Amino acid sequence: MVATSSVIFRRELMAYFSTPVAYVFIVIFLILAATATFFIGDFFERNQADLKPFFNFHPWIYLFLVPSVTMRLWAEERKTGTIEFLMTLPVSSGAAVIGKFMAAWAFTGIALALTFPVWVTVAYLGNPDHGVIAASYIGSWLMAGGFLSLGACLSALTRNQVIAYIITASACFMFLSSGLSMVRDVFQGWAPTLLVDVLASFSVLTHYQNITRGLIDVRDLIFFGSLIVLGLVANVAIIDLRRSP
Amino acid sequence: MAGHHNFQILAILMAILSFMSITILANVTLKNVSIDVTEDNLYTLSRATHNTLANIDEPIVIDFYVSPLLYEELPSLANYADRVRELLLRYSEIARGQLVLNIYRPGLFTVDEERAMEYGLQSIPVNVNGDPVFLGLAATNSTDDLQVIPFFSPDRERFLEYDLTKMIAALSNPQKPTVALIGTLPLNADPARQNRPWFVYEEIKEFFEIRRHDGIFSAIDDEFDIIFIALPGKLSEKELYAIDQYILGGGSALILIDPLPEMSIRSIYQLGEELDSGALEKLFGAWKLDVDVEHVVGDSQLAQRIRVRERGRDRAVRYLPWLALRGSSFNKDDVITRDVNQINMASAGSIELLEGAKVSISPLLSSSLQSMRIDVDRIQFPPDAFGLIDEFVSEERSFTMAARINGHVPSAFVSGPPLDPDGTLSDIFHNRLHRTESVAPINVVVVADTDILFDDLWAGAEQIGRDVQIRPFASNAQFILNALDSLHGSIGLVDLRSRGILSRPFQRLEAITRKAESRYRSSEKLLTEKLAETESRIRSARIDNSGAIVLTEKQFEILRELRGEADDIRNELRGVQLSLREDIERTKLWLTVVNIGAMPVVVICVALFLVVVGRAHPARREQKP
Repeated sequence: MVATSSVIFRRELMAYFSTPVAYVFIVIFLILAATATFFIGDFFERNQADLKPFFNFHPWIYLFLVPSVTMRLWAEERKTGTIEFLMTLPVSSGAAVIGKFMAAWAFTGIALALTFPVWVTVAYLGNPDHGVIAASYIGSWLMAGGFLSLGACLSALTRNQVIAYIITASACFMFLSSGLSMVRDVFQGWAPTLLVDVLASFSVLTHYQNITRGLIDVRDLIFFGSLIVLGLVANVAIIDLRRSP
Repeated sequence: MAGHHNFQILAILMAILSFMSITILANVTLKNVSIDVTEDNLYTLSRATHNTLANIDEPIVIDFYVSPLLYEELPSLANYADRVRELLLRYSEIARGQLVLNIYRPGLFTVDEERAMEYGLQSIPVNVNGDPVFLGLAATNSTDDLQVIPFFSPDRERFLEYDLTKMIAALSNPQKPTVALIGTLPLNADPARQNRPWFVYEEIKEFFEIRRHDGIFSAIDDEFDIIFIALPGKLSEKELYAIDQYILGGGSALILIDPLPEMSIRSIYQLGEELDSGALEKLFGAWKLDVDVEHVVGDSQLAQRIRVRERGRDRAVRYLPWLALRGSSFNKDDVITRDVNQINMASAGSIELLEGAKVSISPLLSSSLQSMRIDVDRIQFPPDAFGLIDEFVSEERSFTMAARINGHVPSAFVSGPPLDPDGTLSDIFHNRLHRTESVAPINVVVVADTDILFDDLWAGAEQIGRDVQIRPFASNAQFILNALDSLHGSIGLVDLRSRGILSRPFQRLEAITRKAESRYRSSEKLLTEKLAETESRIRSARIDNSGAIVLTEKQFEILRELRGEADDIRNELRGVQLSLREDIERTKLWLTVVNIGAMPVVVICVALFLVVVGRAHPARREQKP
């Protein structure tokens, strides 16, 4: 399965760069991240050699951009009918799902890596804590992985890419904001306290912010790891469900 | 087929359930399993904490109060509450039974809530009803000494370990070292601040029993472990003798003197104290130590910026005598300054050895090589920041502004104790041993600035209920506490104090500003002088010798020319002032453009290149499997 996955991974990753969409995605991501850092994040006004203003915006940028990567993953295959062709090949659903997810995650990783000039800038201007910055990059990439796995799974539910985009963005927003008070307020009163607390512990934002402090906690890693695995398992199940008559 | 469908749906449900249970289980079981990747190991418990917890003799009980309502109403604070709870659990583990942790969740109108209030814990109101939530602790030792943290404010997160360890250290060692406070500085009660003590005094009180050594004294009581001389006023010969003999006898001293105690001078006069910057000269003379209080150290590299009004406009300008010490200003080999981050000083003097000195000095705080000594009379109010910059000529050397004094010293009273005015030896000295030299190398730290202690130079404060929480932005108090700690040598919290104060400014931008200022300042000065001269010529041209109001054609012409000249100079001056900011603005713009635009342009170029290559070699593409 590993060999098959890696073939699909390579094919998918190459496919990203054979269309202008990938380049547009990367350019938008880079411009959004830098603009938010320098104009909204008051990068120079803070006069602090750290990348907090940069990483603070990542969850919200991913919220809009990750669904645009994942919406075509399965929805397009279903619409064009290539999913049927794919499934006639000696490829298991699991290998296809993992291959496609890994390609999307690697693609996001490339986009994230291309933001390195901001790290260079902050090191040129002062003396930043490189450990914290490295941890923040890891946290950001894990968060992207969580969103991608969720998006890939939801993309398999529909043939319509727009619908795939909307449901993925909504699901990501739910995970992102489950720790926020406004979301808790919705559950407060009718749901048991335990459920409300459990809901809060699923907040992507809280786990991401923990990592960006420079403390890589195994609980945060487990959270993102299990979120990715949940997405992948559900994705395989949905594909199998759709494949069977 | 239905079975297959059910299996897939079951798999999805199982995956969701597994995700939820793994996350919850990990949250509950895997506490404190983490890698701290911060440069200063901010989240790793320090050696000081481990030592403190390992040396608890009698059990300490910590009652931690966290309201359940907090989790419902303030999730962000709840996250911090969890962090505090986990840290306390970790403390309890390390202390191996000597630290008992009780966690209370006080609901509204419960016994726990009442007890939290009795301990003096602060609550904050939440929701529309203003219901109180608690997040604090009360800790007691076997002799019922009580220490309270009224509220854990997330703003002090960086100081969390320091606050907890400090509290435990205080409970496990209820007998604090005693410090005798001598001098005119109103540390314990400042009339200019409604007789409130300075923050640094409050911080010292946490670890030391500090008492004023008031009245006329002829000896330092043996009960004192350290003497803390903060800006001595007029000292009598007997008092000076007492200090001399105390230090020679092995007593530790932290001495702060100042060429210009500008921050506290009003309070000192209000208290009717008399200043004498040379009060300890006799003592220093015997040690062959020159503490220069006639000059202050000006440093163009470390100078702080102040706002001054010039020609009707506010401008930020470097004020040479006010220094923000960083990096190489600190002696990294000395425990006192090893981990400090930034220390702010105002008009500090300098310390050096005189010829023939037997002692050695170990600098703790030093200026940069871009420094000069400025006559103290030149520092006035309002500060002439521009004038000082114009007159600045670097002496190309670093000045020591605080130092440890090491070695044997002779007494400043070679011929014995001071005599009474009638020439006889006072009864109090009759049966007392007179030391002519130190019994061991002396244990003294001298700092040539007292403003270093002043609140506004290093900390802000936040009022939480009745409690005031100090928020340091510089390491001034840490430096003083480290010095006292090191002089006494018993508390051992030095490596913990460095936690929390982290400032990583854009040094490159600061350097660019300094460079631009030195480049444009001379032309700015020239133009300002020229403008003043032209304006004075305009004024004199308007006054006719005969006193007539009507101007002649010739006078009118001259006036018009002068006004034109003045306008030109003003324009030129504006241009120069703009140039001052230009370098820095250019750097910012350049960096912003590179960060926003460079990489997207590269990506677009790569995409276009690939398209071109793809078109040029369609065959190669087609041949691909």
